[in-house]
Amino acid sequence: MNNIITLSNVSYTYNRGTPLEKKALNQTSLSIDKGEFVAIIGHTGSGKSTLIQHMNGLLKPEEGSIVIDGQDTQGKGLKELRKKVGIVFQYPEHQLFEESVYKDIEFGLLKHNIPEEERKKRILETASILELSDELLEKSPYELSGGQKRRAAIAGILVLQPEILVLDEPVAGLDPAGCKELFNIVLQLHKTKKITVILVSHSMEIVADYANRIIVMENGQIVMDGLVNEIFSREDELRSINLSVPQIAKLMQLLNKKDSTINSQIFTVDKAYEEILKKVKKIHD
Amino acid sequence: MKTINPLIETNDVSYIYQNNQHPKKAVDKITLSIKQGEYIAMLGRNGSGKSTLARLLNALLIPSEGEVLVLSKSADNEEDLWFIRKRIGMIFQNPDNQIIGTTVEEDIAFGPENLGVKQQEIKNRVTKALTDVGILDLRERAPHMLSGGQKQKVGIAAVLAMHPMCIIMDESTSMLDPLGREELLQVVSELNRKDNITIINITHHMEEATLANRVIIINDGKIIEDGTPNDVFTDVKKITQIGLDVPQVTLLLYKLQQAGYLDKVDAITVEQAYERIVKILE
Repeated sequence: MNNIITLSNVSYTYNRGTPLEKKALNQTSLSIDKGEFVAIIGHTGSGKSTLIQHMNGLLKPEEGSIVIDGQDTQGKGLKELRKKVGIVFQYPEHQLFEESVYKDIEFGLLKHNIPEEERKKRILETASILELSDELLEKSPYELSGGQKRRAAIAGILVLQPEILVLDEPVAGLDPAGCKELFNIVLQLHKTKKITVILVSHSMEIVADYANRIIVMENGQIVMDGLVNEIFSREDELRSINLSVPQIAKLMQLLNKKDSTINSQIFTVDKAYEEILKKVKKIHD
Repeated sequence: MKTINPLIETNDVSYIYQNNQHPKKAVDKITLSIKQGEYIAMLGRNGSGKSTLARLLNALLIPSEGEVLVLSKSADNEEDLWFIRKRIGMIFQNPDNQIIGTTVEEDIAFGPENLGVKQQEIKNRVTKALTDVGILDLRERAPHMLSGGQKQKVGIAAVLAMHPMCIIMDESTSMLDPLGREELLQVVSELNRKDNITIINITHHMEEATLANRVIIINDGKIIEDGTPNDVFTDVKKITQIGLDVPQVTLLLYKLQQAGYLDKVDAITVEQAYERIVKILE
């Protein structure tokens, strides 16, 4: 089958046996197919970060099991697994440390004993995808702007050619233009290289624009799982666990109450524009 | 007649970073006046100079040219630096850079202790600040054990405990979830309304900026827009040209206007946009 990630009844508890004991994942089961673009949403502390740290074996389940592309994360071969699953953590630029951007991107390749020629080829290719010029590659990471640093850090992950790319709040702190640039790159990789993308984000607008499927977490469990339009049409349920829907969704639902022929399951500006135009043209005809 | 002095005034202020062979003018002759009690959102692309300007406003940076006055006192006078910094509090983007205590409580108490506030008053302030941001239950926790969002709330409580006249938030909500963001913005609005504390919120979130009374947009070290959220955001062409966003509903109205179905773009909230669209559907 196409299945690439399978979690079966996974539980994980932090600080077990102390007063701060917290069950971060509670009997969570989940299955993700190759080539999906999945968004994980949930408020702070709902278990999102714990979940993604299980995906490359950084954390191992205390109960249940995780199988990534046929490999159980409890077993051996974590190095291979980490090449397959690239996780971009929040503010990845804090992990830049080498004397040049080039060397920083190269670091992971060295750890995986990739020969020099191949390293160079891959670094240049990745740099071009992320729009890092040759001149930038020679600079110290500390001389770059915020958006450039972010892209350099992500290059260090992409250069390992992961099949699964996990992004934890990848655009936090980036301006709207930088945000779009980065997501267009991710979308491109998703489409051309069929990379499975798992995106953790607080921005419902971004989720609406890019993901196909949404997983909603609450108290260490998956409480909703479905296509973007299914999930965003359940606004009341989302509100009850302190999540919201994109501004456009609210507008379309209001319009739908006034005129039930207007489609309420619309979450992006472009689709809303088309829908309203259709209505307006009908009226004018 | 008695005139009320502005809280913060900048006159042709510039700041140049000298750190390598290429000096960079981050702030370029900005003249600005901020009154006590204003609620300002400051927007701009990464590297536009907005954070540098913010740091000039509370004397973390001293101008290369021009001057910054807080209640008529200049940041150029070393003896007035603490006067300024006590009144203009600042919360940074990354909470890890500002947390120092081993417990949340201790962290909040650090500021008032340094100001020489009495013990009982410190206790009251700590409790009030923690209550205001909704994390009283975390008071005995170790900050490094908290989530990103919780840490940011600690940072905000720590500034609140200093009773500042103005709070500058430098992208302080960028790590919070929607509820955390909403709660925080509520706290900030409350402080603005009840206690007349001036708020300057530097943010990339356009919807957050619509809550302010005044929006300032910085580009290439200069102010290019300064007005009410409605005036600023409905100038869709200019805002998108410099790489910023407008609220989703504003962009929708702009598209409808471009297609000739609306004569002007004048909505930034869902409710306003709803009224406009209902009209063209009649």
